[in-house]
Amino acid sequence: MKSNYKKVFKTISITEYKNLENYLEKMAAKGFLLSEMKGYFFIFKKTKVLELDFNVSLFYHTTPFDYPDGEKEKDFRELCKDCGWTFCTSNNLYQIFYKEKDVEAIPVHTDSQEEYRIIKSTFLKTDFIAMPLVILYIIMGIMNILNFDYEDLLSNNALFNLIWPIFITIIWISMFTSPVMWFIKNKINLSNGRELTFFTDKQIKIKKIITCDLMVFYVFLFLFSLVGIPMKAIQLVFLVILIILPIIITLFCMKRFKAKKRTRKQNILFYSLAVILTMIISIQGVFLMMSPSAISSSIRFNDNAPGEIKVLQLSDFGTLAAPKRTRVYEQRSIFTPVNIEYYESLGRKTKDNEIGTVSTTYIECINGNIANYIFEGYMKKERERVTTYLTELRGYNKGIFFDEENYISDVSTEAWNIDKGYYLLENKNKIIIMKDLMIYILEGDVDFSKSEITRICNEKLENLND
Amino acid sequence: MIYGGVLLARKQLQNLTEPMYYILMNLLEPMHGYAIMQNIDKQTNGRVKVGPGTLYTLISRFEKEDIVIKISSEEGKKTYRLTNKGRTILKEEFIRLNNLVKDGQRMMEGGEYEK
Repeated sequence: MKSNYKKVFKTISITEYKNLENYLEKMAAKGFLLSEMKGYFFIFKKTKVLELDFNVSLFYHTTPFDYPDGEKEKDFRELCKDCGWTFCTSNNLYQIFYKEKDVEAIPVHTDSQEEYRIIKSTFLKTDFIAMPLVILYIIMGIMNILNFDYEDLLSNNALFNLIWPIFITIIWISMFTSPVMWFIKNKINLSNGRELTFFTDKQIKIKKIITCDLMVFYVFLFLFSLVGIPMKAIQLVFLVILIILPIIITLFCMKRFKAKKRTRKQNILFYSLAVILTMIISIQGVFLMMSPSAISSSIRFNDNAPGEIKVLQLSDFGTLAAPKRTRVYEQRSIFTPVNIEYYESLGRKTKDNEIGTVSTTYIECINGNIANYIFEGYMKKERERVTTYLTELRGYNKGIFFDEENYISDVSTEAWNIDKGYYLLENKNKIIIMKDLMIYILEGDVDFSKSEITRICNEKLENLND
Repeated sequence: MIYGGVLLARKQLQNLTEPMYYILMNLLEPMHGYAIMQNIDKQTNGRVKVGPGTLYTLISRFEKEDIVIKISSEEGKKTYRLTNKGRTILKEEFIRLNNLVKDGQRMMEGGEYEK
């Protein structure tokens, strides 16, 4: 049996509510009369074709923190009924009435100044409340940009963390631009003695398309940023729950406030505490989930070195014993499509001349500028580390000269067949090298300045010789 | 006599709009919402119309600012009347408008004024 009801998802901004009248009239002319509004869903009942005039009135006399006051709504409906309007339905913002087209009735709003004041005051009490959040996002966005460094280029997730506050701000701006324009335009209209004007359906449609596209793009970016994170499905589900937890808590509170009569103060206090607690749990949870230790806990351990990427192994340096611990850590971003870290260790004390640990970090960048930026970013941090270390060392060993060049020294580009590189430790157990778009960071119980080691590395990391 | 808060309320309302003025004028006597709307329509020969949305909003505002008071609620119809503060505001507005008319009349009829 065909349903007698039709459910339509529709969002309306406070400054666009008048357009709803046209929409409801068109639906009635098609034989669908609005029967209920549930959240963003409009439920229509199939009727005969009706020629009706609708009136949508903003009626925001209770905040979400108040127990519903049916008395005020009843008074308002009575007045409208006396004037020839039939009550259709309502929600926490709107009261909707209709009348047959040929029936005379006094318009519900006859004073544009007063109507403007109602719209403005409702806007400030509802949509505008989110403004402090936007300011917070802008501050977060600025902080992220100020704290930007090369590591942000290494994973899509880090890049997303960098841009999401800015992106949310853009979405908010796209949503707020039209109401602000509406207020400015109608302020001018009123001061020139004209009536209020509302956006056309086409203008509203364009705005909705822009906002919707931005939101879809944002969700896509978020999901894209998760690709490549070595996260188990259960962790992902937990992460999504943490993110939507504030929304669930808000809905719970709103339901609670409508179930039992309490003062507005009590409800605001309850909600504030719930939000603070939820935010702490959510933020802590998300940070814990995204922390390097949490991610590394889900890193796969195996005995196989990555096939297509050439990495150093203990056996390359003559260690015959099989490694006890190996680790592969992969992450990628749009700027560094390959970024792999491989580590082998014997997991025990080494015997004479035996090499116990070796690790390779390989970063492949999309262009030379990115490669250079990452290389220099890494070196900047290394130099800062060495400076701090030497400052401490000089403090403990007064009178002894420690030369910074012993800790960071140039690598022979000819011997290694590279563009540039540095030894990073005094014993030259660590090296960073760059060739074309590739960056290698090698570390182990070996002196990378020795020609034999250079030869082994060059042979093993054969793409250095491409 | 100037009642406490009158100046503040006056400032908030600035000059009364036509619907405000007629609503207050009608509430010199106790009256319910629908009767106010009908009366205004008759008093102004249909020139000023006050819809239920406008009336409800203005009365709520007046009530909040202690300009009108609800005196009874019978058969779902609430009756309101002006408070003393409301009377003062209405009287001040009446004097202001009267002065405007007098000044206008004098100028229109070629009267003199101090230069």
